[in-house]
Amino acid sequence: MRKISILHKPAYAMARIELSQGESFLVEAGSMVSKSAEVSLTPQKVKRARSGGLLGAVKSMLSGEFFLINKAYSNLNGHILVAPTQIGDIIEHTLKGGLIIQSGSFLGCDDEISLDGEWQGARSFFAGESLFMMHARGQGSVLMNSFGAIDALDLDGEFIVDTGHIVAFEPSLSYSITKFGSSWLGAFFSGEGLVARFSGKGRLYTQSHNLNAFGKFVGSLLPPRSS
Amino acid sequence: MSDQGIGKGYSWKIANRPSFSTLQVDFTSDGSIYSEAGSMVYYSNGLSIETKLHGGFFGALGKMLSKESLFISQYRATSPAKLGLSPTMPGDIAHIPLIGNTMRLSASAFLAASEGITISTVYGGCKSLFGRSGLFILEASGTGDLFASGYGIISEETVKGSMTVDTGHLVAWEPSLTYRIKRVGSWKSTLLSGEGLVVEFSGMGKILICSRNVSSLVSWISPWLPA
Amino acid sequence: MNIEIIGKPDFSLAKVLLISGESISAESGAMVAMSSGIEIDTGMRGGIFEAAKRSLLGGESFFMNTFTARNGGMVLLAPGAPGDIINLPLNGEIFVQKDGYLAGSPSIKIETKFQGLGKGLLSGEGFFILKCSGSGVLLLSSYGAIEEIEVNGEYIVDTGHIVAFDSTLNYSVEKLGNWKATILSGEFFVCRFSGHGKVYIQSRAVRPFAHWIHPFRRVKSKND
Repeated sequence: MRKISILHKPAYAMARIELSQGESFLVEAGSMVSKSAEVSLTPQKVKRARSGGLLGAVKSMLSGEFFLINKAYSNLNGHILVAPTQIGDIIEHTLKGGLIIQSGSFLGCDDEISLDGEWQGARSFFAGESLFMMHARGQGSVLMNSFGAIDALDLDGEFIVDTGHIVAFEPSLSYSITKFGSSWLGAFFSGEGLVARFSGKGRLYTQSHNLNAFGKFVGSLLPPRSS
Repeated sequence: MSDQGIGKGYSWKIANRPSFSTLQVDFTSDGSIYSEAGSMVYYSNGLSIETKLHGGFFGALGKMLSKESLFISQYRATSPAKLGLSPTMPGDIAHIPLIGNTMRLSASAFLAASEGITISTVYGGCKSLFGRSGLFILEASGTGDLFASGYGIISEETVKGSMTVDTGHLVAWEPSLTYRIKRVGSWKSTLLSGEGLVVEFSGMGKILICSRNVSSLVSWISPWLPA
Repeated sequence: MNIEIIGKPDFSLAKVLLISGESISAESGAMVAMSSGIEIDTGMRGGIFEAAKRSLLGGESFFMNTFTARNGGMVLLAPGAPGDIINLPLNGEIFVQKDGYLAGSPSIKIETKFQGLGKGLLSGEGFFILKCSGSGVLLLSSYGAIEEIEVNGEYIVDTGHIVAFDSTLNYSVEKLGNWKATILSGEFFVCRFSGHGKVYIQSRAVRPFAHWIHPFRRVKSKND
């Protein structure tokens, strides 16, 4: 019986997936930390990235944004440890009615789940091109990672969240995107400052820290690149 | 350092300690808090938010501050409301209560303060130290709640006589301490600063330090960057 | 010498209390704070560091600072990466991934070793390890959390996730599967351990992080 445990929460979480003979689990490309010899890891499907087709996708392959999946399969009893690129947390969500997940937050899922990389609402959701969402449907569990600690909020009424802090949400929630602050002066140099105003009933997963802001700040202090 | 408390018109809590600390404020009525604009995670209805450029606040400090912008947001509750704030870098948040006294803060450590606390800049040392490797110092005074953030965990050390601290690890210190900023030789060099900067404290008093610093993060990652 | 690890396991800080005359060596840039009366000596480790190997590291110098307490004192040390620190007293030898060495007794001998794929298209790729030998204090730091794995048979670890491993283990660097599988899977180099011994793994790897942050860097201009 496949078993998932999450270690080292909330800062450097790793997921340990134990597989019995013949069992499998899908994991994000590049996420393997270690595995016992009984588990094999094979590339499973290739999903096109939202922009730039396959070529654009290959460029960002190592960053984890390219939607590549590996199937972990065990021919005897074995285990695999997986971890995301960013420091932070991991949470397991049992699907009931689907989940919209920010692509950088997808870590793994049960084999039976279908993943749609082209969620219709994506374009309006994020002004920046660096994020896109996926829609998970079916039976089983989804593993998600976050930059920072994950908070699971069951919403019932209005709630406003900075878009950089959204990990995933149930499609039963409705939302609208606006700029933060009472006037356009509230727009930041970073070009973000977008907030999502959620309403209705459903679960929202948030992350305590903003990955893009972190990347921009640390990136600005690094030696310049040649291209 | 406490996890929660009550202020004028609000109660506060530091969640996800110590690695991804988030400041959660629960406004009961008419409370007011201000913070750097990019630190907003979520808020509910009931808050009036005013965001303005605070030129004199941080002066021309630029990138070193880990601030997305020089915008300050002031949150004032018109009815019960919730607000979540977190810094750019992961780590801890320290609550520093002020009752008419003063506290010195490294500029990058400022997260939020309640109305009633004023922040001013302090000349940070000899002229040659300004620029990317300078130490920018703030002074907070008044009555209310001050919240300082640090990259990594925040630890309190007591100075009895003298102590030398790397400038990138400084969060806050009591004004009773005198200090001297020194540029030291190659033994403290990092890729970013070239030559290291340390602060030599003397006297008796408490200091808050954080366990990581961005310059060392840059030194660690730089050899691994593609061209 | 008394060592306390504060803030475990996230963003750990090592508090080293030295008695009069005692010393500890640490990688350059690791000092957070120190009390008065500590003398600092800079140098490269013991002349064992070979120039040829140094160039493989991309010109990065392996500087160490040795802190000696004149009359007793304290040094606070931290690595550049977010993660944990473990105190692993050494009596023998151990292999440590290059970024994993934080501090140790000055008497511990450190040699660099490059473990690569050897022949083939990507020979020259692999990972750098330090062989630490002798007796004394050894402080290792990780990117992420540290997990201790007892190998009894065979175990495969992504090279970027290795902190250290016992010298009693057999190890070989391989690519995961065939070339197509390697590239598509995103898993490049793995280390296959066999035999008996401990492997210390870390829950994050530096290479994917470096690739992720790369686009956030500004582009070199003519003035750089």
